[in-house]
Amino acid sequence: MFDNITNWIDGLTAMQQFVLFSGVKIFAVFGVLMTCVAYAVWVERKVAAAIQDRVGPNRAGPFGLLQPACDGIKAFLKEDFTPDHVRKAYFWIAPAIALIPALLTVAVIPFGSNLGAQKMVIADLNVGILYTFGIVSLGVYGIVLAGYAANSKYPFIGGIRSSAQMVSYELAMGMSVIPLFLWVGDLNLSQLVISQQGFVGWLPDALGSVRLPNWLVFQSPMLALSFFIFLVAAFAETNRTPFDLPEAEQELAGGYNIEYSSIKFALFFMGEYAAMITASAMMVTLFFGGWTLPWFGLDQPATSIPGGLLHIGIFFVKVVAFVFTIVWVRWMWPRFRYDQLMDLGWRRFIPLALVNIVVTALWLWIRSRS
Amino acid sequence: MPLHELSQPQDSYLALVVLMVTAVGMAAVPLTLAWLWARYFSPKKPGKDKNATYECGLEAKGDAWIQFKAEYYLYAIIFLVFDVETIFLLPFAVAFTGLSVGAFVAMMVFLMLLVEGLVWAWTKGVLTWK
Amino acid sequence: MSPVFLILALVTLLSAVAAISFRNLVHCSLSLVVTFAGLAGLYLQLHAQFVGFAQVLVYIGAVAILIVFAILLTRSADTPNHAVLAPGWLVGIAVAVVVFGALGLAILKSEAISKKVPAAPEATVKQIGDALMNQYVLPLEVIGLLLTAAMIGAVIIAMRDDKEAK
Repeated sequence: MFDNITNWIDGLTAMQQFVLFSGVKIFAVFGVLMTCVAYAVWVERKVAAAIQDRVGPNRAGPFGLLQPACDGIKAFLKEDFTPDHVRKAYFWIAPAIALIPALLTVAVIPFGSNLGAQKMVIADLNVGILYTFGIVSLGVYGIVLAGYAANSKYPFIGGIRSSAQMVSYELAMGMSVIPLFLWVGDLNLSQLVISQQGFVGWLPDALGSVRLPNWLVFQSPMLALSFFIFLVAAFAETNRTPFDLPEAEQELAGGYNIEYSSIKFALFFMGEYAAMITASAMMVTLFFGGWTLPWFGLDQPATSIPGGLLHIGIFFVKVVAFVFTIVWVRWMWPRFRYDQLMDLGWRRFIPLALVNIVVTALWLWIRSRS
Repeated sequence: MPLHELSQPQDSYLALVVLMVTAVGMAAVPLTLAWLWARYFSPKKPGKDKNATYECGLEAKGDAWIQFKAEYYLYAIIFLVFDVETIFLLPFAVAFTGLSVGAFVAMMVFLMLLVEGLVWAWTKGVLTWK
Repeated sequence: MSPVFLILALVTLLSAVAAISFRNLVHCSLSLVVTFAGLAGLYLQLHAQFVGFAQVLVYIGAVAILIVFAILLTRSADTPNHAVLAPGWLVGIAVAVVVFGALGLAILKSEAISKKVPAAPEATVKQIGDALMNQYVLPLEVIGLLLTAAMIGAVIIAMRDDKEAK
């Protein structure tokens, strides 16, 4: 049976093989991503419950594990209701536009080394990071269009607010990664991961076996600062607390998605969680070594199928750790006021990111001269 | 296994196109299915209050299109300019290792122009949310 | 002419026509987004990855957003009652055709087009960076200055309007 399949694959032309493997990769990645989205909601509710000393969802299945499925069915079967006053066409496409960019970002993220001869990345672009930022910048449209489509005050305020917030932090995010690329000298994300193999060199030898992985966040204080700015900007970009101003319940009663219900609301919801997961994956790739782990030779590209699967597992665990942190922060922090949010972005993080670029460039310059 | 090596850029584009089509499908299929379900199975129950604009239970007053602060626009303009300048920083970052002193100084001047714009906006109070 | 090019060109042109012919300005700006996306696709089809994705980031992610912002903030999306076309639109089209014809003739007659162009190697970002830092360093500085000046100018205009409104 297995032989038949390998024979069939061997018989295909290069093009057919490429299409086959790309298709399999894309479906596998989306399958995992959508499952993660569903269970991120479950994790969110369970963590919230634990922090607030409640039980959380526990009726549907053991530990409420079937809750995401129930929620999905419910969202689907609810009355697909369109209010009278909305702009119908935009009202329909806005949820789709909000979801799609969140899904597209995964294309350039290397989620493993390789399985057989296949690289574990959907599109290994040489300008990977530029693609990411290009797609991330499209995220604004879903929210702005939702606000416009609803033709109602709260969504409109929410939409405008949110887009101003997103563009501000997009800038901070874009500037925060420049030092990273000064350091590495390549915009390809697979190369970026490869440059994070091994252990850092600056720890004194006296520490013996206490060693830090050579992940970019540990390589220098400037890069750690980069990570900090990126992390905060990622919170703002995904509209998560403490930056969830667009949906500030107390002032806007839900923001841009107020007039939405049933599956359309669910798409916004999925978009938010998908963005959160891809932002986590991005941080893992950029700052925390991607699929590498410097122990047991796990920082070298895999030579066997189990090794390749292990790398995917390592990447997955790192991403889950980030998702957990983002969820945790939501239930620990109050929300910023809008003026605080804009001040923080424009008068703290953007200048900080600029200074960081200059300092990193000078430092690398001096180091290369001496 | 005689797997063919493929790393041409056009192949990446093909993968990207497939990805985009799939992503659009992920959004369009649930919407269409829900629409079909609503159309054929679930009865429509419109009502005057149900279809009204949501404003926390009160009746909506005036136009939804309310007057906004011009500040939002100012931020958008500054964002646009800085976004363009960030694009120029990326090739600089990649080419950094082999640069001459002159090129390095030139880039620092470029960065200083960026900083100058930001400082100007700051002192004018544009970056202060009122 | 590959089919990919034809599709992209068609999408770009049709959406550009749509962008100037809709009455509702929000429709127009979204058509413009499609035009920008089509251009980005054309760049990618020419193997200019950096320019292609920079086009997405700058034009779709920033310029078009600014346009949408301006429309939403100034209520100008209310559909106007008057005709989309200005009264002298026929003359306008005639002038455009003449200019296009003149430019096209000039390009076709020039020697540059008859030269055999060697297959363009794919420019890496490093090459772009090197070229920007060495050969084109003066234009780069001028761009920096221009952008800063443009920002200051735009902000001053927007700020003054704001004060008058108060």
